[in-house]
Amino acid sequence: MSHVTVVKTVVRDLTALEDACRDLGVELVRGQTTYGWYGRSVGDFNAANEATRMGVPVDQLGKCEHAVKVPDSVYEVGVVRLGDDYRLVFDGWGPGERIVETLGSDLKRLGQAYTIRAAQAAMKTCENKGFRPVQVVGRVGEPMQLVYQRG
Amino acid sequence: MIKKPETITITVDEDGVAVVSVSGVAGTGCVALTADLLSALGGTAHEQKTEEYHRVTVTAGNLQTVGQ
Repeated sequence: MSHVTVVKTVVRDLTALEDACRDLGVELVRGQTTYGWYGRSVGDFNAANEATRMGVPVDQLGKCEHAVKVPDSVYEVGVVRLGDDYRLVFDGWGPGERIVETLGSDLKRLGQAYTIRAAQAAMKTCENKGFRPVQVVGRVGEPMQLVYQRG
Repeated sequence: MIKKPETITITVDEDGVAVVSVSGVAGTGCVALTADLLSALGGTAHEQKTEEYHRVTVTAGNLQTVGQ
């Protein structure tokens, strides 16, 4: 069985993804061009975010530009370019459940951690205009808030 | 009268949906402030504006969802 999905998170900042992975105890390996999965498409998975429906050709399953290694998991997360952005692709079936345990269903924990890191990186522009980070509330897995102020 | 500090608040829920709120920034300045942020987060934005309050909701990753 293989259940390869493309998760919602749009990745535009690999450094932010690298930081988010570190926050969650997993590792982004830049330049790793394959990711661990079942190895062949069984074609029995009909979810809306199934990889081939999302634009990943069957012969590209298991191929990526970068990969995320999850401790104690033989399966990995692929960082795949779709259009102008990177998207996260993984096989959540069988051994892939270890990825879900670590990073959440649809990799939501990683998605949230990435969004936080990408927002912090993008806010450097505002910091150059006098804004300063004054508060970080919450942690991954619950609503988080970043507060910046000027004046 | 004490001027309130200009504040940018970014809230990210468990699903990665970000809401960006800007307060105390007059006029179109708030739009310019959040432009890089919106671009970096890569989602579509829903904006609400009042005279001194500006809110943008970014749903990360809803650009290329197929079949929903």
